Amino acid sequence: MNLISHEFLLLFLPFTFAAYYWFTKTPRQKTFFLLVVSYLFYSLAGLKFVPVLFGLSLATYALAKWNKFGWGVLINLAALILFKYWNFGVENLNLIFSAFGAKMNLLNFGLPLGLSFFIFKHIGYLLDVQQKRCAPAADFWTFAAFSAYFPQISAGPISGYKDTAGQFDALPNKLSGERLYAGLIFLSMGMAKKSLIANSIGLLLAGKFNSIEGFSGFFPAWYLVIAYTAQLYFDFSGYTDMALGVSMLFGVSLPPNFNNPYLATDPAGFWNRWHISLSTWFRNYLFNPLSRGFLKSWGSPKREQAQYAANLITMSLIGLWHGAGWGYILWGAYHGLLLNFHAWWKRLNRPLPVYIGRPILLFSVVLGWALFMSPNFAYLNHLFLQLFGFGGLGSLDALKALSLESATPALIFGLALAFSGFSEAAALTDESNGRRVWQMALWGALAILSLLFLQKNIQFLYVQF
Amino acid sequence: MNELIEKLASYISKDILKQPSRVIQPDEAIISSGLIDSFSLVDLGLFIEDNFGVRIDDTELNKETFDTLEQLASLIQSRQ
Repeated sequence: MNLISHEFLLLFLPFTFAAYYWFTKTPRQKTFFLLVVSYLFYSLAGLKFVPVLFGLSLATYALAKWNKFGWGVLINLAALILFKYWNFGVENLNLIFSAFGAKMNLLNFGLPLGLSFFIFKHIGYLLDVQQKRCAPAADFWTFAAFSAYFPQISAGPISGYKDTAGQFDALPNKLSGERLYAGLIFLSMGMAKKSLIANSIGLLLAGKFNSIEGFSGFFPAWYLVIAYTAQLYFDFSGYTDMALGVSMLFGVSLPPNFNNPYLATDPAGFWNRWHISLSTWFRNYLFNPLSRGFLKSWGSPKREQAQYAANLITMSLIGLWHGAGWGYILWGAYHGLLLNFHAWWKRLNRPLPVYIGRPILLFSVVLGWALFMSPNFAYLNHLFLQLFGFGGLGSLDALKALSLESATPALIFGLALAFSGFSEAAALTDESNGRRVWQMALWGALAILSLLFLQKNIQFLYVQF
Repeated sequence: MNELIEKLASYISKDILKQPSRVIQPDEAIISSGLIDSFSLVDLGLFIEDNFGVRIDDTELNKETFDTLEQLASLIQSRQ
């Protein structure tokens, strides 16, 4: 099952929503209902990995209960390595040892839906219980509902046990008008972002731009990376808006993931606005303890080196989290270097005005996406040569063809929206503005339009991570 | 309270920002404004731990827990 599908939007969601408020009355019943519906949702994406989700939830719950936190983290990381990174490691080892005739076999398990997301929820829970930031789950079913909670299982946002499961104890029996309104706005906005903007751009990028032979020249290359910059944001923030909106309809608030990231003026600001739940997770559970350790062992005189090391390690691992590939690791390390450069610049005490800081940051972020989107070194090499003008400017015919693509108006509209500051659903649900009928009609019309334009078998980009 | 705020302000301007002449107002936003970054927050957390015997958890080093020196000083006092 996929949030952005006719099956989910027209059948699964309306039926489960009606049944939830019709048949369940107490928070306990509602939590159990959410658990059953979440496993149904997960099963509809494929039965194969249901035991993995259930087994890891059970192991995490039990090991936290028995104070075996280290084992819990280890088992979750082992599953992540086995399913996500094993083949990447084996391929690289085979490259090294092929000269000696040694070769290891690849595994063909496939990647369980949402693995990186629910494993990070599990590890966060284990560390929070260990550090006494939250009490262990009262019972397995509540923890299992948190672990598999269907609006966030595919691609987050990653939330803490205390924040999300804490709401299960007080699930409302009736949905308030405010929540229904906000939930539907989030849902409509997410659908429109994905269906009308991200998919329109994505269709073009999945075509000729997907291969080295498909494009050449400065202008087509910049069109490609700018289009990808817009596609990734509208795809992932569209997904997040939908996940938050669906969850609101069931009475649970999930944490926000975006806050106009392309309006940031420095790298630190960008990571406070992009994939907020992931950067918060890494900051809480890796960057802060790592920085603390470096500062204690290296001392204050080496605080700059400590900061550079902590930034580089954390960002490289954020890159690796996205996928088993050198492109992702390079992208992460590149952002670590950007953060280090920013920290160094800040120490010079020469603040840049917004009109200089923002374009520099945008240029850096777009170059980063070029690393992120490249499937291999040959593609990356070709793309960077074109971006820096080593492949000419691009043929006039190619530019004409691009201007006539249906993706171009979607891209222009998307960029205008992203830079206007009105691309976040949270900004549209401010109750102080009231709930105007024309706004509701507009969002309803957008939702219908999004459904009409929705293609079959499409997926969110971040679901693959 | 004022002495506590002064000590915190002095540590931030001298040791973290390396700008001894920088005056930080008690109600000035230090995190949401970008004045101090995530690493400096950890540094500040360690300073508080060593000097005031109060531990600020890694998950509390954010603008939601405190954003001004006044708020931070209140947090420290409430835990002393």
